[in-house]
Amino acid sequence: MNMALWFTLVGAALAAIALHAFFSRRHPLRRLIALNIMGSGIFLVLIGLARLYPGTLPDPVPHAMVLTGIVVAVSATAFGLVLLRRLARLGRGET
Amino acid sequence: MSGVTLALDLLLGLSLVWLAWRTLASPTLFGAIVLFIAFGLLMALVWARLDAPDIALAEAAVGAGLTGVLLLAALADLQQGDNLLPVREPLRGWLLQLILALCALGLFTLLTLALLGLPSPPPSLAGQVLPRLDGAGASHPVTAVLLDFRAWDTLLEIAVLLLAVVAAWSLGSHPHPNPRIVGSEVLQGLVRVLLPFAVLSAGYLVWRGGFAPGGAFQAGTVLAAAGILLLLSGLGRPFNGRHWLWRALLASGLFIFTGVALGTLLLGGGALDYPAGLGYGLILAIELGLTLTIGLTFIALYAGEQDAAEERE
Amino acid sequence: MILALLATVLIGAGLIFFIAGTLGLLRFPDVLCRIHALTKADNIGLGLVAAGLALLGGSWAVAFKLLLIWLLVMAAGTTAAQLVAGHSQAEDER
Repeated sequence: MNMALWFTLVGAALAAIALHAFFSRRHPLRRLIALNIMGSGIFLVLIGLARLYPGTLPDPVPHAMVLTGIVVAVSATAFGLVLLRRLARLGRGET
Repeated sequence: MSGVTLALDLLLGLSLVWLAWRTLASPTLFGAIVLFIAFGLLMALVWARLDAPDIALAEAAVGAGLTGVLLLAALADLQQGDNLLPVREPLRGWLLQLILALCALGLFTLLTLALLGLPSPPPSLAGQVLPRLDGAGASHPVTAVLLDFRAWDTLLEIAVLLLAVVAAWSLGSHPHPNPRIVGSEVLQGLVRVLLPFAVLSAGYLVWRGGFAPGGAFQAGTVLAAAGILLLLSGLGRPFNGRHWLWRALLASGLFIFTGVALGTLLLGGGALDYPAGLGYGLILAIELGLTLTIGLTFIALYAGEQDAAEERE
Repeated sequence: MILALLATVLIGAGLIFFIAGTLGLLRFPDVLCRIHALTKADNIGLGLVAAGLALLGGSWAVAFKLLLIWLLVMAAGTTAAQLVAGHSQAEDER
């Protein structure tokens, strides 16, 4: 089997596992982690697709998309964490 | 594909799925975060296997480093005192569980069918990018796509990063992460040695991005990691985002990028349509700004905003 | 040919240290013992692998970069080990 195809299938499996965990796990921190793993799975599908056809140069457009995607994902995660910390402080009665 | 690399790929893919499963099923939050960091490291290896060195570099810094630090800092904060974070009741009822499992299975099946049903060769934009590299401001295809052909997307992405910082700041200050390792002399010694190397490699990555894997995204994350280490070691002064100089540096990437866009518009070409011969210099200038913006964005998101009152005391 | 053979021997020896370190991490009873096992893999194991790769790299520049990587990993690994050990000691004393 083609190596890139194998990793796109791994990416699909990661996305499915993370989707399940995102809805079944209830702690918000776990949900953020699940969202990140789902993102990694989707990125893996994109990059696998970029070099699915052996012998040609990989398609640089998905590479650029995933590169920006990783950076945006971590900034969104960081913002989600700030929201969580704010929620916890409100729960403790602080401002 | 030889037998050894085949075995390596199979092992990598299976460990990735297994690690994701263990991460999501981990009984403790701390365990989940540590497993997630390991997952990020394996992802970096997979990117290298898929001929995506740009992404491998970014993943090694982001997935294995930055996200882990952010998660651990938040966990330390959340576990202070009573944890009153609203956590909803776990899913009850076999019907809901069944529907959820079917949804996940359906996603996997549909994705697999879509992948297997692709035409051969699959659609690719490589044929359009590669012949145009001669006229672009960067000879490395990924950099050329990011900062020449699709520069608009990157401009807006930087705006999104700044938006995240503004939104986080508008939620008020959160306590400066103050783990017990602050003040460790061994860590301070390491940071003293490592910091110049980190800044040097960030600069090297920016310069290298013009013609080989590398660029502002990887350089920015290296810079962010160095800044966070500096804060962790207690050597640097607490990051005060209110200072005008920090704010100017934080926005420098967006300023330079929009400046170039306006300039090229005024010169008569399309926005971000670099004049012939100037492309390389302009892209390098934009990338230096982007590196600063990306690096400082993550430092700001990690450190939170110091209270103005706290600062005066 | 001799170079490739020597490189294989070096990398193989390095991998043995990694396997031993992993075994120690999994089987040793407490934090300090586990760190002790891990640092062996990091320092000597990685050093041997890097030396083997430097032979295969074919240029002094590559060899120098690998040496730099080895030194940086040793510095970072040592610091991390010290921090984990210090943390576990602080936990025990409480």
